Amino acid sequence: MKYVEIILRVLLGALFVLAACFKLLDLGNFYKSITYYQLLPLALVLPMTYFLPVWELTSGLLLMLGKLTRGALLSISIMLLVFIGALVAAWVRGLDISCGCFGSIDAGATVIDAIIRDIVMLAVAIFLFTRKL
Amino acid sequence: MKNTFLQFGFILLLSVVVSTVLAWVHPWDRAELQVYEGENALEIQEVLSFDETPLWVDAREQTMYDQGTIPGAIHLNHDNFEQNILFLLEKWQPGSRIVVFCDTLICDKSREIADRLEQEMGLTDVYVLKGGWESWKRR
Repeated sequence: MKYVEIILRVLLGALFVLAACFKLLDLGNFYKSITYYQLLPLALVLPMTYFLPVWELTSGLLLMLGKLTRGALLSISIMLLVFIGALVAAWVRGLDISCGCFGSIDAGATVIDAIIRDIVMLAVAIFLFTRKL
Repeated sequence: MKNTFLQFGFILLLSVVVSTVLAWVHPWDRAELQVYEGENALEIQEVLSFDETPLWVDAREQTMYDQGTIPGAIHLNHDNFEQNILFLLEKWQPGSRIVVFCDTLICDKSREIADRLEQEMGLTDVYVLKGGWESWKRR
């Protein structure tokens, strides 16, 4: 069981590091993705363009390395809840957007795909949170 | 649990500091979006100054189109491209200008549909409306 937990922890952390890297390498595209959601005032879109990938990178790296694990898991869980909320809001409003979760590489993923993916990751994060890591 | 919140606070603070430094070291602003909009992206006032009304193409989702669109706009997106392209071709004449729009400030769908019209259908004088539907409403 311990090995399963380690694998899940490293995998979840790696996904966040990967997502952060894709965003940081194409900030313009990520800026556009945030704009499409139409949830933030334009003045906050640019700060969020910088902050979110860095928050993902920090949390993902710490989770992978097994440092400040519970704080990193809390960060990731909060991020996932926010992402799911934003995706559901976009879906309900019928916005035609791609997730933007992994930069431009997941442009083909639908909003529903992204919601399911985030729910699975949130379940993993909650599972790990309940374990004595 | 207190330890968890302390760790969380530290991660948040660290992220704020790093992202601020990143923004300072690698400044980036919305002006770069001009690159994404491309040369054939037009402001609403430029389109309204055309001598003849262009063929408007609405690249948004069906639900948004149903809620309201530019008068005479043809609904054409990736989902209905093969069917609705016929409606556009019926109206199109040599010299007609086509303006594609989607939702808001910046939008990939209008660019993608404009590219398809040029590359797959061989149409020319295809433009993208900067600001999309929002700019039409504010005109």
